[in-house]
Amino acid sequence: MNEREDERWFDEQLERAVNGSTPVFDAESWRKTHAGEYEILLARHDRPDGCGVRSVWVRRAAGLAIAAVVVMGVALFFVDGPGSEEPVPPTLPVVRSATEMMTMRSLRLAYEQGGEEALNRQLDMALDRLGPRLNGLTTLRVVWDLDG
Amino acid sequence: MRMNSNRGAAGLALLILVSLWTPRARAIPPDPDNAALLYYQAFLSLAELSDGERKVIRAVAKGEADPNDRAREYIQKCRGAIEFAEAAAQVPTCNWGFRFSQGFDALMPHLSQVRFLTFVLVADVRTRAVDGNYRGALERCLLVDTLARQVGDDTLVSYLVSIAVRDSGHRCMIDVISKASGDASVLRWLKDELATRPAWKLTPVRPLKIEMEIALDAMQVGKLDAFTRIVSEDEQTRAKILAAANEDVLARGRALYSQCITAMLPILGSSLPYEQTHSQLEQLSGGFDPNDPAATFAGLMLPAINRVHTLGARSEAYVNAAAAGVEVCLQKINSGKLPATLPAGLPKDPFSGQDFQYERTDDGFVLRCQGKDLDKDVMEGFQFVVK
Repeated sequence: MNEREDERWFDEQLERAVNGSTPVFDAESWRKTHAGEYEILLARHDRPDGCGVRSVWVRRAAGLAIAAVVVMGVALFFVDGPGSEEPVPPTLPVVRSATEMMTMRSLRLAYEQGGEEALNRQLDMALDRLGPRLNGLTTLRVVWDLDG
Repeated sequence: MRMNSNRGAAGLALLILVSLWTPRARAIPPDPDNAALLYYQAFLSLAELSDGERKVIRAVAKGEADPNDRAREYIQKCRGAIEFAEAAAQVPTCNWGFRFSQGFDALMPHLSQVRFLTFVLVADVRTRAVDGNYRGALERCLLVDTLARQVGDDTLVSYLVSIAVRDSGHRCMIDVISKASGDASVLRWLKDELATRPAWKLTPVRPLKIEMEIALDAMQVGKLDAFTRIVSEDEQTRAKILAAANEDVLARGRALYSQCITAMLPILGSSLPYEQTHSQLEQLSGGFDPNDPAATFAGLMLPAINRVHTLGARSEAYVNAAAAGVEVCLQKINSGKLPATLPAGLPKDPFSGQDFQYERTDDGFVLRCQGKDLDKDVMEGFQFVVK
């Protein structure tokens, strides 16, 4: 590609990313894709220690933090486009699957490359990827399924 | 004569009755005698939480967020898992069923679950502490300590996870001791518990021995592909290893590696001061000729053992600081003010082998290690906020 083609290709990519129209920040969609951060923000907001002058500052700080997060969300929306994946921390070795992440080899390599923090991060990521455990209702459903 | 035979028949009937009754009384099979079986059930009973909900639990456990109603609801959903963990803590034996025969390819899925169960337990500690249930919170901390012991030392990775679990529990215990610093009965109870609990200290000796056997088995011509995957994720490095490896190089690599680990084991098992152990391990880990492929292979296979050793020392520092902190708080209760100097005879800072450095601050006191974590060049400190 020459410089001109490069520019055209880039323009097309940009247009596709913003869908050819004025982009609008979709708070609901952001909330869904960043459920964890949203939950933690809510948990922090519910802290019982805010009162008087401090509480005003805390609220202002929280407001600013939320605004910053929203601005960052909008910025990321433009840069990466919707549905893009979160960046992988640099110290984490490349691994193939959640199962692969749980081998002694992979866990040991994570520790060798990034220390205990990388090992713990890989263990947490493996759990997130392997998915949630069965809850009581699901277990019951399995039992009913087995009973036919 | 007839009377005697009647008595005999009655005795026999009684014996039959008793024998029929006895097995029935013993018919209920015992609970598992392997704690790991109960932990596996705990993992299955952990609530089906979303990513976001798990993040909330983690944030509360790490003290980054207070336990609000939502967090309490998630912890409540994990109640069944907590009960299994309580039952497991009562069982002395814990065998996770690790498949050593699979070598470095063996799966360790339980370790992720152990970490999340730890977060749930520690989040519960913080919830209880916020509610003023200090005794309950500290009982949970001791439960986490038992879990850490039971995670065990089958492999170096298990050992590292065990340390991380223990640190989470004791970091939280120090926060709870701070909150309970005015409650003499709870602190006296904790002091007794810490003094009477069976002391345990994992060392990397057993896991390193096991790893050596697994590594020596992997450093074979017929297992070169597996060997390269153990030591590097990088394709170029793997290609270089494959190009340089042959029977002779691998045999010399095995000999050098085995020699090095064998020299490390007595150092790790000794009671040498931290600094001395660190220096000796560093010397052993660093003497490989980069131009000799056999030495390079041996060096690649060696774990970062000095960091493993340092993490063990740091974990011991957490445990000792918690015990020392309880004593300082009890002295404050007795005299109405924090002591001017650290009471004598308290557990030591493992980095220096000396007493912790004690410093009163505006909102409590700090216990500082007098020796450095030589890998990170920092001195650990443990803050007790005593109001």
